[in-house]
Amino acid sequence: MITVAPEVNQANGQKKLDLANLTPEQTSLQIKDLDLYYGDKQALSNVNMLIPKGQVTAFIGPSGCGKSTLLRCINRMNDLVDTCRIEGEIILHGQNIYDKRVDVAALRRSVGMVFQRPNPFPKSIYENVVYGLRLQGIKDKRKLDEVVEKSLRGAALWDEVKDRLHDSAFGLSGGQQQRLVIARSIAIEPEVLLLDEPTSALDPISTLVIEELINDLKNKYTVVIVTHNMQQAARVSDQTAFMYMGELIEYADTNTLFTTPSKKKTEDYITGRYG
Amino acid sequence: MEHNLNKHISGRFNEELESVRNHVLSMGGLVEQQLNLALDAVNECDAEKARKVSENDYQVNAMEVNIDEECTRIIAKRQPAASDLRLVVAIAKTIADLERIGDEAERIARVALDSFTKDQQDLLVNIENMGRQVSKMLHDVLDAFARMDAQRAFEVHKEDAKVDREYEALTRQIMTYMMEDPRSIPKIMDLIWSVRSLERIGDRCQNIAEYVIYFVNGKDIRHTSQEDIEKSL
Amino acid sequence: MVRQWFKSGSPWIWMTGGAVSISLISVLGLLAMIAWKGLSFFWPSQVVELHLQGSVNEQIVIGEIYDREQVPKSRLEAAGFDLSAYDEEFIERLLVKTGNREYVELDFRWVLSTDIQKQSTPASLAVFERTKNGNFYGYVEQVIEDGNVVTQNATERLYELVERAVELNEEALDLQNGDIGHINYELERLRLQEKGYVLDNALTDERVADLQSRRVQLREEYKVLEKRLFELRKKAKRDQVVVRDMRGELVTLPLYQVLDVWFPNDMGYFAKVGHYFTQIGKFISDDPREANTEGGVFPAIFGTVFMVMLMAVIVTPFGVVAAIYLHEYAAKNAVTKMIRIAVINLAGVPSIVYGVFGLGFFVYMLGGSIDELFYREAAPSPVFGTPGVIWSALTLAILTLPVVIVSTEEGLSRIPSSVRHGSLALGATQAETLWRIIVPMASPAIMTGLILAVARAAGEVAPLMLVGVVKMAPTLPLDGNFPYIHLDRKFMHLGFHIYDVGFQSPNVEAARPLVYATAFLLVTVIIALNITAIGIRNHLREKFRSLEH
Repeated sequence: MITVAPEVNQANGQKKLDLANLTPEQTSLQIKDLDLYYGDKQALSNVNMLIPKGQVTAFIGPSGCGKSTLLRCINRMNDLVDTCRIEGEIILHGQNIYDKRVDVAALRRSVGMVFQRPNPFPKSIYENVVYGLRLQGIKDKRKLDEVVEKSLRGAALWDEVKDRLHDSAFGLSGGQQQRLVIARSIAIEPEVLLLDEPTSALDPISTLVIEELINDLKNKYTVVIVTHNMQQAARVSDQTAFMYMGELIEYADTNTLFTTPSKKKTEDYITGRYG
Repeated sequence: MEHNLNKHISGRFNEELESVRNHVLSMGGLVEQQLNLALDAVNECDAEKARKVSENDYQVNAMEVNIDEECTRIIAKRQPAASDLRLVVAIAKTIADLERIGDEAERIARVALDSFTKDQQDLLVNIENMGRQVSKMLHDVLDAFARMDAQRAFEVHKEDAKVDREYEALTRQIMTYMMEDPRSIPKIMDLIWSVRSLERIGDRCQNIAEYVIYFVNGKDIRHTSQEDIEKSL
Repeated sequence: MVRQWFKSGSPWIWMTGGAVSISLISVLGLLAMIAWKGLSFFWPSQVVELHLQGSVNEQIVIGEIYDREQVPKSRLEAAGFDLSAYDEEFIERLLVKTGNREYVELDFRWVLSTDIQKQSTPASLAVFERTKNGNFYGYVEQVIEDGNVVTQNATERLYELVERAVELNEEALDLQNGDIGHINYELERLRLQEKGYVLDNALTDERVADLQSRRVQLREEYKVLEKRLFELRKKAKRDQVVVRDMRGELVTLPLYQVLDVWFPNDMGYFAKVGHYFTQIGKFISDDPREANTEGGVFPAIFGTVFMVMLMAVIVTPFGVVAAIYLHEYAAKNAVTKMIRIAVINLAGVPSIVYGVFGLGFFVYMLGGSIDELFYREAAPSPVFGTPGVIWSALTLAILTLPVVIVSTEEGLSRIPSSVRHGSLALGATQAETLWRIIVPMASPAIMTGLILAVARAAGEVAPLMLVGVVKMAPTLPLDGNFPYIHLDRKFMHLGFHIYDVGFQSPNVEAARPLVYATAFLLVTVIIALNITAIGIRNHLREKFRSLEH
């Protein structure tokens, strides 16, 4: 007879986390009473959530619900928008990242980000991967070579490009370019990796490759992904947060959210109904 | 929570879900009819009706296959989530149970092909009693399914206990009868089978009730005590 | 029917296509005209001998037929010609280049076709290209080598002797401009150094002695070189040629004044082609002679290209930096908008205004200050406080600045923000992103701006006349004397050369083909500069292609 412990009911056998009360060891990021305004318009209101360490957390919701905005808050990419104003805290390592003393460049080194469209730099594959390291002034050829191999392997791209590392990155397919961008991000060994609709510009097969990669990445990094594709969120994430009109409606483990959501808005959204 | 199948953005999805649900209801109707026919056949020892039940069973089977296919298609094409997913899963399981109920009805009808003595006729009356109870259960559970009414389904769920008690009483009665008249054992064995079938139908109705509750509330209440179920509802 | 046709859109296609065709035909027609007129100048045309009699006294005219035109008889009669023997309403008139400038009042003369009794093209007619007084036409009578008349193979010997004289002349010129020029330059520097010491009250006896000794040494060297120079000149003057000109008189031409000699009527097709390319080569590589109306235009080509490149070197960093500030750092407010409008308007200011500004600001203010600060010993003669190539380049840099700024900004705004964000997300600062990603990606646009700037600058003449261009510059802005690049020097420019030759020369008729040839050369130089820049831009574009999908 097979005995099944009651709390191990998730498919991947991971322990189900109590998302409202994570211990500090389990927490990677804490978002606290976050409000965000673009000019007079409020784009996020009172978002509170704990993002667990070493897991994949997905943000879903209709267009304009603020999920990408929330993601960009985590590495302060919203700073680039002049009219953007933020209240509340995001705590990483016990420190509010919106504190005045925080070095934004250093924050972005520990919270990497991959965007919707593959955006390799107009350089060789090799130079793309080592870009972040060169910024830090690392010149040692042996060290760079090592990191390139490690990162490309980490992004499941090494075997495809190892013979043409010094060719232009533009010669790669869209899916390969996106994996290169991921390799570029993990080359500087961030703790958190933010993925903003990473497969929306890719074909289904490339999408699956990236999803597989995300699954591998979560062993080393905390991954936060924004996606329009609910099935993708269902496939790759451990936790899912549903956002609507700038509010966090429901935040639960993915298996629960996709079978028995507790809020009607969530239900309507994931079953494709109009509310 | 309110369940409305018709509010999907995709009209085709609405139609598909509506159609599969209607097919389940008509399959339920057919199975109910089969059961009643079988019970009538036993009651009236009408071999003709019994044969009809046996002949109609292929229809039930065909319907199961069709609905199963529809469910597979919906899963493949629409990737349903949440209540839609639960509906499709509940339907897929429900039709399997309905098909079994159809098979049991056929088995019950087979009793009508035998000829019984007067004493044995008394037993048949008791069986009919139990049969009506089970038939009502089936009717109610189908009704709960049609209305997506968890409360009603739960009542059906509780009903099964009565059927089980009835079954035990009837078994004891039949056993007494067999001890008194060992020669009748071969014929009585058939009776036992049909009583057993009725009991199984009750269980299957209970299953369907569980699926309805799962669909409506998203709670899996299998293998849970009645009190726990009541608490969660 | 017609409405249908209008609706179909074909009138629109015809109209737009027509506009393009007209522009294309204008450009090609212009180029073809300039090229034909300019390039045909170098073709060795036939030299004719005309026997004239009629309205003029009997005489012989030798020369190249330059032009023909039809003149109404009445006008000629009004001018005093007796043409009663002719019925035609129009009389043909020929323009003949007779050369021999020192012996006839005009080296171009009009000849009425009615006066021509006989016309021939004798093979023995020779053309002498000379360093002074233009071409000489005539029959070679005697070749005198070192005082002796050459009797055998006189023509071949003539070629050899001309070549020898040309070589000796070149050697002498090299010596004069090179070594002797260098000594003069050094002596001038010693003089300035001494003056500098005097001004600083630092002229010690020691220094006087040092300067004196260096001066003496240079004078010694000078004497040696001068002696060599005189020897060369004497050697060059050894030979003469005796020519009979159209007046029938014998003229002795010293060969050291002869640059080339040829017998156009005796030349085959291939000889003519060879001669043609030699002439073009000389035009491109020689210095001008005779107040620019003869010889080559090399200093003007060099001056144009040098000034344009200097301008490009100045304008690119300025324009790019300004554009980066405007696009990347400046707040998006009314002030920025005003600045942008001002920059665009700067492009609309007439170029002569830039010339005036350049003269007032760069030459007098900036140049004057530099002289005061660093070249006090040279006073009162100015060094930088006078028009020069650096001021021309700076003036044109301001003139073309808007073009570079606008196109660089254009390029910056075309770079997808995703690339910027990608860099920032890797922990780069804005400056690092700019330097490592944005500017390289904007380089094709920067090159486009530079192409437009170069095209505009190379064609600009008016402001340069105020800030550095001269009719005749004795030295190039680049030579072998320290510091090798002399930004304070005046220079020659093809555009100004055209103006000067076409409108300021004593002999406009003679200079006209040169104007065309120079104009064609100017266009060629501009096209060459542009093609180089376009080539670089396309290479860069290829490198940064792709993200524009």
